[in-house]
Amino acid sequence: MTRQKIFKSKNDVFFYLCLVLIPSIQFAIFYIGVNFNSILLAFKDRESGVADKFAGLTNFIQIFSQHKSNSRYTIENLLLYAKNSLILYVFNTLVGITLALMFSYYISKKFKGAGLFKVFLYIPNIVSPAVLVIIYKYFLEEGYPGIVYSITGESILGLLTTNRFFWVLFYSIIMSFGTSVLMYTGAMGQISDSIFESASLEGVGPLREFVSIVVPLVFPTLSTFIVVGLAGLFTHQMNVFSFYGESDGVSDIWTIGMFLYREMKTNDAWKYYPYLSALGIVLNIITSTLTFILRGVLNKFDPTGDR
Amino acid sequence: MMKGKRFFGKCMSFALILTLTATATAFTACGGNGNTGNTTELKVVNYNGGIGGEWLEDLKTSFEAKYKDVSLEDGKTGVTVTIVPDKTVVESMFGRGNHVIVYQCCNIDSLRNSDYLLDIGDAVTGKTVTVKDKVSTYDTAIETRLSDSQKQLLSSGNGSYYAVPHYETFGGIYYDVDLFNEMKWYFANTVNNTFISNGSATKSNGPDGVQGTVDDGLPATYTQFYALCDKISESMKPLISAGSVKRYLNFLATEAYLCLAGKSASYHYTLDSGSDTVNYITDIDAYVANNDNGVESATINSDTLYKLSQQAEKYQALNLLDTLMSAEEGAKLKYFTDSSIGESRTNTDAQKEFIFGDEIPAYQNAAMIVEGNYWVNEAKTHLQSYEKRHGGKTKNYAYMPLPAVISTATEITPEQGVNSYTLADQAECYMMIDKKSVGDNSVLINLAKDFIMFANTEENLKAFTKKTGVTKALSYDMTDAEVSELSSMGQSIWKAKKKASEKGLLFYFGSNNAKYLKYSDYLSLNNSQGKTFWFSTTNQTSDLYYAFRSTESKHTTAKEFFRGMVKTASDLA
Repeated sequence: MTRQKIFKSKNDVFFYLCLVLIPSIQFAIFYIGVNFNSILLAFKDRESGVADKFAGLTNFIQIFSQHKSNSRYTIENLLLYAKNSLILYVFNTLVGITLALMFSYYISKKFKGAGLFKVFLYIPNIVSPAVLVIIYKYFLEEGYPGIVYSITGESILGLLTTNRFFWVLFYSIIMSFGTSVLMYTGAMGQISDSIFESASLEGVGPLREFVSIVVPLVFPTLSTFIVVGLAGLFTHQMNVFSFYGESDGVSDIWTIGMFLYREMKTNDAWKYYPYLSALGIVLNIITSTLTFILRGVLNKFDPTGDR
Repeated sequence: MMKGKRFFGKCMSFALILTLTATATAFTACGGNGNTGNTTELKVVNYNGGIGGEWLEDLKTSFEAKYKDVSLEDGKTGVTVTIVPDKTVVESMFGRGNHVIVYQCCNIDSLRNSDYLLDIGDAVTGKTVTVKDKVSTYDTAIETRLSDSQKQLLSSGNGSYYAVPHYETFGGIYYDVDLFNEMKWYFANTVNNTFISNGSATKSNGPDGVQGTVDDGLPATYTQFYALCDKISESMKPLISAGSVKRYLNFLATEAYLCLAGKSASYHYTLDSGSDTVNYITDIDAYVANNDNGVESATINSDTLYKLSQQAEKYQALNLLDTLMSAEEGAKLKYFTDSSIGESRTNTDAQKEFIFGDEIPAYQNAAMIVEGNYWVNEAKTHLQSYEKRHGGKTKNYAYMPLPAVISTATEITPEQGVNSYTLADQAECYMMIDKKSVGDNSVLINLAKDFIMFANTEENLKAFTKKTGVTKALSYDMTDAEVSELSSMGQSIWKAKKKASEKGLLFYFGSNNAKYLKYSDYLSLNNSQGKTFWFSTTNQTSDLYYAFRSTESKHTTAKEFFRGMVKTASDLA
C-alpha cells in the first residue's frame, strides 16, 4: 500500500508555504528573537545612566550566592521559592491528578449527576480568574467566619488569614481540574465498551475497573500531564499574584514563577533584568533535564507500550 | 483516496481561516496616528486610581473648547482629547500611540534612560507654545512652580525637562472629626494626659506645640497617641486599614518617621546635611533599653549616607507600628478592625466601612483610617450615599499630624513641635509625553506640550484641587474663599501642605545625583512594591504588617527589624 501524496502540485506547496509563513515569522520574532536577546542579557551588567556592560558569568555566580546590590536576591530565598514550586507540583500530581482521574471516570461512566459535575468542574475555565479569586477570598474570609458565627456565636478570623499557604495551594488544585478532566474524559471515552462489558462479566467492580483498566489505558494522557506539569515547574505562579498582588510580605509562599513575575513588574526592574535572565537560563536547564528524565521513566513504565 | 483529499482540504481550509483570523486580530492592535473623524486626536493615558478621571474630563472639555475652531490638520477642525484609563505598570504605557501619559509611580530616570520621554523643556521653562498657527501664552512658566529637588530630578540640564509633577500623595492617619468632637477625644490643657470633658474646654497645644491652631488637642507625643487609642478602644476600634493591601500600613510608619525626622528626612536625596547632624543608632540593644544610649550624631554626606539607615527616628516609627500591632485580643488586634487583619477587604471596602461603620452590622466602627490623602476622592460614591441617607449631612474628616517628638511630657513647646506637619510625596506622579507616539509630528508634539502647559495653569491647578480635594505637587495658591469651597478633607490637606511648605518641611524626594539615582529604590519614599526604604534583611520584607503581626511567619520585633535595615558604607558605595 503506497502512502498518498499530500502535495499534488507546486500550487499546493505554494499555498501551504503561504499559510505557514506568518506563524513562522511570529515564531522567529517572538520565540527565537526574544529568547536570543534574553540569553545575551544574562551576560550583561546594568546601572543607571550608563550603557550595558559585558559581565561574563557574574550574574550566574550571583544566583548561587547573592546579588551585589539587591538583598532580596539570595540563594536562600530562591531555594524557598523552589521548595514551594516543588510542593505545588507534588500536590498537583498526587492530589490534583488523582482527583481529576476519579472525577473523569465518574463523568465518563455517566453516573448520577455527571453532567452537572462536568459543568461545575469546567466553570473555572470560563469565569475570569480574578473574579474567582475574589469569590474564594470572600468565602474564606467573610463567608466561613459568618457561618461559624451564626452557628456558634464565636467571631473568628478567616481561613486565609490563619493558613495562607494551604488555602492558596488548595485553590490552585481545584482550579486545575477543568482542562485535565476534559482531556481525561476524552481519553476514557476512547476505551472500547467491550472491555468494560468483559470486565463486568468477570465481576469487576468500579474501583478495580478504574485502577486496573481505565488508568493504564489512559496512561499516555496521564503521563503527558505529569511531564507538562514538570516542564511548568518554575513558571507556575500558584495564583499568588491574584491573591496578594506584588506584596513581599507573603514572599514565604511565593513560587519561582511568582517571584520572576513579581520582579519583572516592580519599578526599577530593568536594573535586574540581567540577573533574572541568567536565572531563567539556569531554571531552563534544570527543568529541561528533569523533564527529559521523567519522560524517559514514564515511557519505560507505560503499560500501553505505545511509545 | 478521495477521503484523504477531503481531509487534507478541510485541514487547509481550517488553517487558512485560523491564519486570517490571527492576522486580522494582530492588526487591530495597531493604533495608527489618531484619526477621530474630523478632529485632531490627542490621546491621554490616565492612571485611574485614587484620583479618578473626572478632573481630566473637565480639563478635556476646556482644552477642546480652546481649539474648537482651529484647524491643525488638513480637512480637520478642532481637537478631540481621547482619555485612556489604565492601571498597569507605567513602562507598558509607552509606544502604544498614547501621546500624553499621566501616571503614578514613575521612575523618571529609568524612563528617560529608556528613551521613552520627549524633552519638554520649552513647555516647562517657557510661557508660549505654538501649535501650527495657534499661539498660546500663559502667565507663569511651570518651572517657577517646581522645587529645587524636582528641577534636579526632572531635568538633565541645559533647560531640558522630561516630566511635570502631577498630584502628590501624603500617607498617614485621617480621622473622623465629627466622631472626635462628639466623643471629646481631645487632650485637655492639663498635666495628666486627660481628655476634655466638654466642647468648650481648652485643648492642649497639639503636635505643633502652638495653642490656637487646628491640631489643638491631638496627640503631641506617642504616650498620648497610645492613650488616645486606648480611650477610643473603649467604644470602638481606633484604626482601620485595607485588609487586602497590607502595604497601606507603611504609610503610617513613613508619616511617623517624617514628623519625627523633619528636615533630616530630606538628606536621603540631598545627600548633604551641611553642618546639621542626625541621630543614628550604633547599638540598638542599648538604645532600646535607654534612648540616651547607643546613639551618636553625625553629619550626612555622600560618604556617610549609610548612617541614615540607622537613623533613630526610623526605629521610633517602626516601634509605633510594632506597638500597635502587638496589642492583641486573642487572635485579633486591639487597635485595628477585624477587616484590617483579614485578606479580603480592599482599600475602598475599608473606606466604606470607615464611613458606614456604625450603620452596617457587618462592619466595625473605627475612628481613624490609615490611607493616602486621595482616599476621599476614591470614596466619593460612598460619601454621596451617606449624604443621601442623612438628608444632605456631610461627614468631616481631617489629616492627623503625628507627634514630632519622643517624649512623655503632657505638653510640648513650639520648639519641640517644629517637625510636625512634615510631608513628603510618596507616589511620584507625573505628566509626560511619549517620544515614540508623537514621533516627529510637530503638530502632535506641540499640542501635547500645550495640553501639559494648559493643565498646569493656576486656574487649572486650583480646579484640580477643587474637584479631587488633592493637591498638586507644585507651588500654587488658593484664596481663603476658594479653600472654604473644598471638603473638610480637602481643606485639611491644603492647610497641612501650606504649613509644611512655610516651615520648609514639604519634600519631594528626587535628585540628579548619581548615587541617589543608583540607589533610588532604597532612598526614595515611594510606597510601591519593590521599593526598599523599609526593607529589612531580618525577614526579607518591606511590608510592615507582616513584620509585626504575631501570627505571620515573618513576625519580628521593631528592634530586630531595624537591625536588618542597617546598611554599611559599602552597601551604598
